[in-house]
Amino acid sequence: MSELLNDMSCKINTSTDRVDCLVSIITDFFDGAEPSALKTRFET
Amino acid sequence: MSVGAGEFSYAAQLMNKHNFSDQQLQHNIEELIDIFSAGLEPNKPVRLASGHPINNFMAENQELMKLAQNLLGPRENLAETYEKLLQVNIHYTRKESLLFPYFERYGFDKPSTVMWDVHNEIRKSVKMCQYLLNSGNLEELAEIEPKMLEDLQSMVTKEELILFPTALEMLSDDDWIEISAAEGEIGFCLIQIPEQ
Repeated sequence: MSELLNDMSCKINTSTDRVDCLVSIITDFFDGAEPSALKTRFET
Repeated sequence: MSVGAGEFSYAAQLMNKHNFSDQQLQHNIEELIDIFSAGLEPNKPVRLASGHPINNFMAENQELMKLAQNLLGPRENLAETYEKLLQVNIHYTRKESLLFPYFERYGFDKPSTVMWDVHNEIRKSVKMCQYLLNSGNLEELAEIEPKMLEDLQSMVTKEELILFPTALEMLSDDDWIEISAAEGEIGFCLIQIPEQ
């Protein structure tokens, strides 16, 4: 799967910083963080 | 911060590595999109060739939304509206049979694992609504129709905000030529056969 993920990232224009930020927020969401707080965190 | 649809898709794809299941993603995808909605870059206007598969999907969405608007508003010719709405099956079948395999080839399996189930739910509820209408069970129809419309509209939003821009980023010209060549076999939903 990791090879496939590498392939996917090659196919799209990604910034590591932005993807890391998205993953961190999604992870916190699944860990129970308040969506409105996450929205504010993302927007600031 | 602004993020591209492809980046959102990639982040969603990475969630399995963080031990989150596809079911969690499926049940929360709308809320997640909402969290990032202010930063999702508006789709750049892309001039696609006439008959491009994404143009066809978008044209079908316009027609589907006209039917949804009728159900939400004037509610004219309900039997005909539901008969037409059943064609959403063709739209979803083209996505599942033609678009998703290319995503999977490049390691993006979330549309198959997350979206496919929602397609099936919408297919089922459209059929149920039509059955309730035809059998005169309008009370029960009034109970389940709003959820069906909400799911239908939400799917259009997910397609146009995330799925189609990601597809345009990931798939090559050769991929699109192959998809285009195979579309006619499945058919089109509520639109004429597009000119190539």
